[in-house]
Amino acid sequence: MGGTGKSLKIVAGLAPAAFAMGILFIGALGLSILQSFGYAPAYGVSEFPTFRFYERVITEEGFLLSLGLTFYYAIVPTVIGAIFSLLLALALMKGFKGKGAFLFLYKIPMVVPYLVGVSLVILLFSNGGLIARLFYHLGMIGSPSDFIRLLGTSSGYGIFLVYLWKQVPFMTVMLYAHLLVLDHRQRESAYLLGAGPLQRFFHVTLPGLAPALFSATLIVFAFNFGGFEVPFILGAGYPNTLTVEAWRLFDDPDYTNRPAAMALTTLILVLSSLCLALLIGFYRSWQRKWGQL
Amino acid sequence: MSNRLTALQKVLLSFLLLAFIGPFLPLALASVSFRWGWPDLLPSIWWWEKREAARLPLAWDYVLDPVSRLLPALQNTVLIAALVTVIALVLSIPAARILARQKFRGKNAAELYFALPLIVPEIATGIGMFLIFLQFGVQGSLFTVVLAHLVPILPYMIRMLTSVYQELDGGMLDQADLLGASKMQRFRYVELPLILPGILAASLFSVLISTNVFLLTFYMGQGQVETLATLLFAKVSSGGALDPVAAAFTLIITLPGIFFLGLTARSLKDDVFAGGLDKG
Repeated sequence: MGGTGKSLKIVAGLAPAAFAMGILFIGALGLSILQSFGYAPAYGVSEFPTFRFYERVITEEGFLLSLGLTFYYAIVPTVIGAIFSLLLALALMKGFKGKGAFLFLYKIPMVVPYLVGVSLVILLFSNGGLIARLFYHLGMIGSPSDFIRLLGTSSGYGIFLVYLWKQVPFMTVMLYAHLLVLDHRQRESAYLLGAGPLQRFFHVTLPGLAPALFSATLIVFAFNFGGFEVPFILGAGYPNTLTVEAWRLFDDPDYTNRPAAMALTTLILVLSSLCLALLIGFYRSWQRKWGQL
Repeated sequence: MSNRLTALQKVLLSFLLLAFIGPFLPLALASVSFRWGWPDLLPSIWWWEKREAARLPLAWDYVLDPVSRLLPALQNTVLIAALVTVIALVLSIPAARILARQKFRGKNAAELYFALPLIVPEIATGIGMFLIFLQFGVQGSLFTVVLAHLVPILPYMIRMLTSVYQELDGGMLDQADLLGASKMQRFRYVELPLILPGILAASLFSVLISTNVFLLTFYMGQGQVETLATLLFAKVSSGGALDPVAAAFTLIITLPGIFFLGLTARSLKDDVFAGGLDKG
């Protein structure tokens, strides 16, 4: 087949999907960025280009708090989740009784909506929830109000629980899949050369797992950074994450607030892309330094 | 290097199993309770004890009653999932064939482009998409929800089908060519049967994502399109105590995922979940 025929074939094959994504995804991003700079004639706002809306959301009282919370809710469960997933994936490499059932059951949280996790956390960890009742029966607390408030506060514990419940299985699936195809000869030769379990882990297994660990962490971080329903329900009424604040502004009966909501979502997008770019850069340099054996 | 679990690993596995699956037991109890007040560890009055006496349907009676709108929500959920899966397949199959078989300049860029929605927060695209539909005056309809669901689904679909095509034996297709099959015949009688298991797995995964996506459904639906996810959100969004009906909804919305796991336990290999950016 000639060169033109081939490239025509390539374009024809990729075009439908690329076009759909172009309109729905790139177009959507473009339009919301345009609105954030003041192009929203539908709401009687057309002062393009203006930075007014960015100025407004950034100088708003509580912006820095929201920003901090967004990072806090994104980073903490991602790091803790990565550690748990690593330990779980390593344990799954061993043989044990009931492993087949375990491999089925542990994936259940991964395949249900986040809202299911929210329901379960409310049932177990609210002040009148089952864990608090258990504490009562153990004689440790007297009434629901004695129980530490885990939900509806900025501490984010309830949010972390839902994220960990959903994401530890997700990350484990990715790590376990990678472990299965990893070359075991290196580990074995390290063992024969007298390396201890910790040495084997840090010098052989971890570098080998790094790509999977990295992409799992990246996806989970990006999700948590922009997650909506979990902080909306289980976080504090105010302040809350940037995503929840953007939702509030967009949901406001006063439509002229919508460009401000767009400014906030654009900021979320820029910040999350920056973080990802930083992580990728960090990962690449780490890989150059340690990745090759 | 022993292949036995250490004591710590045993503790970890038991703890995680309890944490992942354990909470479903009290959830099931809550769904059949009538009163489960502080500080009882078990419901003090069960649903069936009050069933006859109550004037309004309780717990599961309510859930299964038309009043709960569960049936229309279920219909919408299934319809949206089916439509988006068909559209995603039609868009993804040609793209996956190219990505798996052809080498060309900009291939990495194309792969990155198709993976982008994985790393962009939903809210950033959700509102923009809503505005696009608003421009065309089609907001708040089932079809806009379907289109919106394409964004989180296409990246996974293209990825899964690309790996299906990579494993496909190209020699079989060449044989069909040599035997004089037309392009349609070759696709219909050789290619399709070979990729069918992969297509099935990708379709199920797409259905799963579609039933789980909340924010996009909520935005595009504008309260006009009720699905299982929006119904559950309405029930738990206050963050207060979980009533029996909310517990029952939660159980129902868990079922598609469990079906998915059961159906794909054999056909879907774990490595398709290794999605992301590391694949070169």
